[in-house]
Amino acid sequence: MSWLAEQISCWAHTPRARSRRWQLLAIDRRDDLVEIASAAVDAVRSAQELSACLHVEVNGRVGAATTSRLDDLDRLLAEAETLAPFGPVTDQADWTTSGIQHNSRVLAAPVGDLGSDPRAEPLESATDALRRLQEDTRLLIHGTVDHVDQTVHFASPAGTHTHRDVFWAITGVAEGRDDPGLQLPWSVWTRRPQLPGYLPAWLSLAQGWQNLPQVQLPNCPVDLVLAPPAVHTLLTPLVSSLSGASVLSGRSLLSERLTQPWLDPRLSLVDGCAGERQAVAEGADGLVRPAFDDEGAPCQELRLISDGVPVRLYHSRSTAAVAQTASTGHGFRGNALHRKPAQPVTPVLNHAVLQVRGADLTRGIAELVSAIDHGVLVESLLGAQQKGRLSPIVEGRIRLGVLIRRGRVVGRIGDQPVALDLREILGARFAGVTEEAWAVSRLWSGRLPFVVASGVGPARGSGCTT
Amino acid sequence: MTAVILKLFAAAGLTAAEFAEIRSERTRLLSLVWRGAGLDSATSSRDEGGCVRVVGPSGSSFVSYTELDPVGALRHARQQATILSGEPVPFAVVPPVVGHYQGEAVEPADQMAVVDKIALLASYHRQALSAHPAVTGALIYYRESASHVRIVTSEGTEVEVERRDLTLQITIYAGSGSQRAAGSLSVGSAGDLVAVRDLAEQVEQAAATAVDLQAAPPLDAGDYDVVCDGALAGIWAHETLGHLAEADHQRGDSGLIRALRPGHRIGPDFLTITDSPGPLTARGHVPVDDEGTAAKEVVLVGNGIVDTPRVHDRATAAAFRETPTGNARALNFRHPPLPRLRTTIVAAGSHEYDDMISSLGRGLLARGFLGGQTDRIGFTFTPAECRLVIDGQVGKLVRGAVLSGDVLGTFASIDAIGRRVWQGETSASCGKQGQWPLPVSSWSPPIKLRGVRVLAG
Repeated sequence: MSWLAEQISCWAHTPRARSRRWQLLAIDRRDDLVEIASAAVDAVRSAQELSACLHVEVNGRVGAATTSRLDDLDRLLAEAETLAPFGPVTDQADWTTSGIQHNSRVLAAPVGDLGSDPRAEPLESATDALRRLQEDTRLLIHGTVDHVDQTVHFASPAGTHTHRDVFWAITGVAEGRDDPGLQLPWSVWTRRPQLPGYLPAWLSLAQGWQNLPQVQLPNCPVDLVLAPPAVHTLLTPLVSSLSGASVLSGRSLLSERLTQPWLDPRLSLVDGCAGERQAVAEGADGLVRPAFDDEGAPCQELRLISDGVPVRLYHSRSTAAVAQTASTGHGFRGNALHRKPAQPVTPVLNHAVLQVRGADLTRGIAELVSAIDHGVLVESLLGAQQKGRLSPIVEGRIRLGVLIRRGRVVGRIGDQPVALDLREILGARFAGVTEEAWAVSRLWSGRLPFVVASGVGPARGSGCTT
Repeated sequence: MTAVILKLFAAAGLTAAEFAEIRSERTRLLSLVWRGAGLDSATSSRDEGGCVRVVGPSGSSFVSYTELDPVGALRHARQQATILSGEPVPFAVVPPVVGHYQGEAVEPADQMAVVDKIALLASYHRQALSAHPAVTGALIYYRESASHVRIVTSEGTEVEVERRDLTLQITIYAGSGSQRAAGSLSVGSAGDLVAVRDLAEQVEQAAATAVDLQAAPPLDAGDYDVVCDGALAGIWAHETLGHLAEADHQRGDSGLIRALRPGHRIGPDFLTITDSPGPLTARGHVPVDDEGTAAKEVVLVGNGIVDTPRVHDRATAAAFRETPTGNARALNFRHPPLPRLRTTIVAAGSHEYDDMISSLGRGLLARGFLGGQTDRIGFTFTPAECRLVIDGQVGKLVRGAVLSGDVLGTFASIDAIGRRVWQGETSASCGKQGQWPLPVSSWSPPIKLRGVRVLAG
């Protein structure tokens, strides 16, 4: 048992702790990180951190306190008790921890034999992989390789549940050697210190975009290809609208349209898919999938959109209570990749996968590009926002895009306004997806494919002239 | 250097060829959120920890901790730097600094009882909810922090800094569904509770804005001349020139370095922008940075011409063979310092505010700041409120304006700068590489920009 687990266990049995209703989220996290610039080690960092958030109920109200000093839980309790008289009203449901197997430990084991030092050799291995990537693609590779060992303890007077997760977070950006304006970012979370399989092919394709002429968005319908980061941006209004918090605050564009068709019937969105867990366990590209959320609710697979129809909302405990339903295990402080006890709980998706029936186009993006006669590929958007508060249209500027003619990339499109209607692109105009999918993590985390929509456009944002 | 500190470095086995620094912090935070009918959360935080950085012949290493002791962390950092065999990182030379620094507050927030703070802020929440029948909700975020930071280096720097910060954001909603609109007020200070007193009038104004916006027509997207008030203009200067000037952003970017070369004209001759340590009362008050470098004022642009193109930490200063400027800042002990802005100031111009507005044939009057982002090539900002101006006459509120443009090109589009520099503080904080919210100050007179691309959000 770790020092932290012992601290919590001993403290939980003290008369003071036993006299109160409380919930404690404690995180023991270690990061070992290498910063890479042009594929050379630029800096090395380590972080060791204990942090905890305690909620306590006093006379029907809740106070909260956080600390990095886990050696004094009595003081943490006292600080939370001080705030409780002013805090929100609570009820019995907030303090039940049903569904958790108390006094349990879950270890998400890393793949393979890590040896006596679990960090140094694999860090070098990942760093070497980035060097090879730079040599093979002839792009400059910058980024970070981060080995993360995160143990989460959720404790209450009923017992403690512990989940340890060990994973690699590798983020980077490939930059054009002759054209620094070409910037291709990526992120991956995996159980092995390896780069995702799609990355070399993607960067080899994109390195040919250096020094291409800047062109305007076409003024006619085109085949539109959205890379996973752009798909993430397009889906965000819909994903946000499926949050219990958005529905309750009147910010959901779906609040009156749950169970009505929104997307192509071949599309579904599932969070925490069991199939994906298998892929993650095997060390393939993936995202962290916790056993329980930061309120102690078990995480479960949740089908949010089924065959194009939004069917379920995702909830934290508090939003579920208002909606008079059960928590779906999505209440997180930060997200599952980086849990931050000092942040408030919000409903968060950590492993949303866009599932597609019968609409795979091709194995990879290079093959996809070569099959397009006249199209635009958008890698990502900058400053994208919903056109109106409850609009399915996302407006922003293309951060990186290319024009495709007869299977070849002929020009770069950047810094141009564009408006994308998700009902059109993932609905009426939806043509298919690539087999490969990337992990993307911003407001929510998911694995998303490239999406193709046919006959879209003009896709320019308002105000742009021909 | 005191004997105790010398012993620390010796116990870690530090050699003469190595540089090391230790930064330890103790921070108390209070966070209060009102949502819905009342106080939604009240959280007290105690955040204590430290970090060390070792720079030597084999490379550099940074270790942060909540449980390790400094000596253990130093040993780990030295070992790490050796194992991974990085390149040496030159650090620019700075004279050691010894001192104790603190800001200034008339009424330090951390000395007021929490019950009184809650009572004050709850009164604003009640006022907001009852301001108008059309008001449907109010959101209040309050955050205060008080930190004691100690920095010691193997070169003899011993610095203690007391830092305080306070932010308050009140957003008031009117209507619901697709007709929902919001008005807001945003204040900040260097931990002085005076900033959150006597806000009743501003709460009423924010509620009125929310109600008026409900009926406001959506703005047609297009190119507009825009007069930005001081608060918005200050953010504009921070997000455009300010971030471009952070030296780590310029490393390896020959195009940017060329665009910001000293002596190159980028704007009109009435444009001067500086980044400074700021006065004692400013959120962006940085008398000494997180590497122990004494802060200096940096003239980024003087009379439209690039003067000092970069703000530095010690590593970037060495890389560019320039002098450290005291801009190395870290959000907290979890992070190494990076070149960050402090108090960014657009100097007063000579144009009258009323004349700037009356010169608009078809333009916008934009006030305050709700959000925005930049990737140092383009920017997008969302003003807190926007009014259409036709033939110099300020009209009604319009909805959904998002100002956008090209970062480097924006300076040439400045038509006028007002006479009076707005030196307020808002809740806007800076984020970079995961280090958010870093307190900054962004001061400016009103500015008129020509031909701004406005999206309809």
